[in-house]
Amino acid sequence: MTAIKVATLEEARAAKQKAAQVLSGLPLAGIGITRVGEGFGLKVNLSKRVCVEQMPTQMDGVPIIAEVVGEIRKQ
Amino acid sequence: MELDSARDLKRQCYEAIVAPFAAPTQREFRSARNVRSFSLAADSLAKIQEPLPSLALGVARKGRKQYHLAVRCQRRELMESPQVAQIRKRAKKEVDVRFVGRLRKWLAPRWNQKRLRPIQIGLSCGHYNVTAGTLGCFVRARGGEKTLMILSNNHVLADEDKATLGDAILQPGNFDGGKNARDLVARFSKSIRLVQSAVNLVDAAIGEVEDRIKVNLHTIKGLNTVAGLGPNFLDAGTEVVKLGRTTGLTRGRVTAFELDNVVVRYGIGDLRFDNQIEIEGKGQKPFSEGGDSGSLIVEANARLAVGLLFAGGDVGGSNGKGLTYANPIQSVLDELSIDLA
Repeated sequence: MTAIKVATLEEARAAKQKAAQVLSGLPLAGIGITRVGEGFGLKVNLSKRVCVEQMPTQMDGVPIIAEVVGEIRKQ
Repeated sequence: MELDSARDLKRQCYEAIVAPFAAPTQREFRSARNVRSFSLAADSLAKIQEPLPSLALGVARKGRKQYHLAVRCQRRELMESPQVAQIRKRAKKEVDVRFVGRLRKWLAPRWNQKRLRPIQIGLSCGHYNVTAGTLGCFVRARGGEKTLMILSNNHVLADEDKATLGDAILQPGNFDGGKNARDLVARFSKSIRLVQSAVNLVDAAIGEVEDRIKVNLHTIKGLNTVAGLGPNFLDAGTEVVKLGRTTGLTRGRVTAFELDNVVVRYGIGDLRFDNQIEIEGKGQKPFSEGGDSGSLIVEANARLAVGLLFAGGDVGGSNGKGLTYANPIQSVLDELSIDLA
C-alpha cells in the first residue's frame, strides 16, 4: 500500500486522471483538486452515498477527500 | 354549534374530503424541480407550473357564542364542486362557503430584482422567455470593438440555445416583472452551445447593450468595484464574493478547482462540465441559490474576476448548505473572444 504523502500539484493532476478511470463505477459528480494540509489532494464528489470499501483513501499516494454533493442543477 | 364541535367537523372534513383532493397538487408542486428552497432557477417560462389553488378550511363565528365551519375556495368552480357539496352535507348547513381567489405571499423584492437604471453588475436579468438570472458583468469583443455587452450564462441569456440573434434581454428578468419591450436593455448576440454528446467547459452568453441604456460598468454594490481580471490559477481556500439576483452579496471559499465530470441537470438533459471551480458559502449561508446564475465571482480582497457562477446543489459544503459551481472566467472570455469592459 502506498503511503499518503504531501502531494504536489502535478502529482495531484496525474492522480486525478487515474482516479477518473478507477472510480468510473461509482456515482461520480466530479473529480477535482483541493488542498490537504500543506499539499494537494483529490476531491471526489458523489451524487449519493457508497460503501466505505468502494472509496479509496488515496490514489498513488495522493490523498482523496470524498463528499456526497447530491444532484447539481443549473441555477 | 359549539367551538369544539366546529373544530371536530373541520378535522373530519379535512381528512375525508379536502386532504385527498389537495394532496396531488401539493405533491406535484413539491416535486417540481424548478422550485427549490424558495428560489427559482433561471429556466424557460413554459416549464414553470404553479400549483392549482385549492380549498381552505377553518372555523368562523356565527353570532356571539356560536361557530360554524368556514370553507374558502381559491377557484370559482370549486364553489359548486362535489367536494364542497360533501362538506355542506356533513356540516348540515352549519357552514359558510366563500370564494376568496388566489392568495399570494407578500414578499418584498430585493433591490436588484427591481428595474434599475443605470444597469449594473448583480441585477436580475434574462432572455424574455427565461424566468430570471443575474447580470454578470460588462464585456467587449476582442479586436478593438467598442460595442458594450453584458455577460451571463447561456441558460439565462439564450434559454439553453433556444434564443435567436437579436432576442430581447430584460432587466429585471421576466419572473421579477420585466416586460418586453418596456424593460429591454440588451439583445442576445452570442452563446457557447451546450452539448450533451461531449464535454462542456462553459455555460456562457452575451448580449449587446442597447445604445439608450445607461451603464454603471464596474460597481459591485456593497463591495466596491471589479478591479480587473484575476490569475489563471485559483487555489483551494481562496476567499471569493459574488452579487446575485437571489441571495445578494455572499462570501465563500474555493473548495476545489480543475473539477472534471461535473454533471449538471438542465432542461435539455444532464450535461457534463470539465475544469470547473467549486465554492462553499461562508458562515451558515449557501453561496448561491436558483436565480444567481450568471453572477460574476471575484476574489474577496483583490476584487479580481475569477469565475462565472452557473450551477449548484443543496447538499455538501462544511456548513451543509450546498456547493456552488463556476466556470473559470478566463475560459469564458476565451471561448466568447471577449474581454472585461
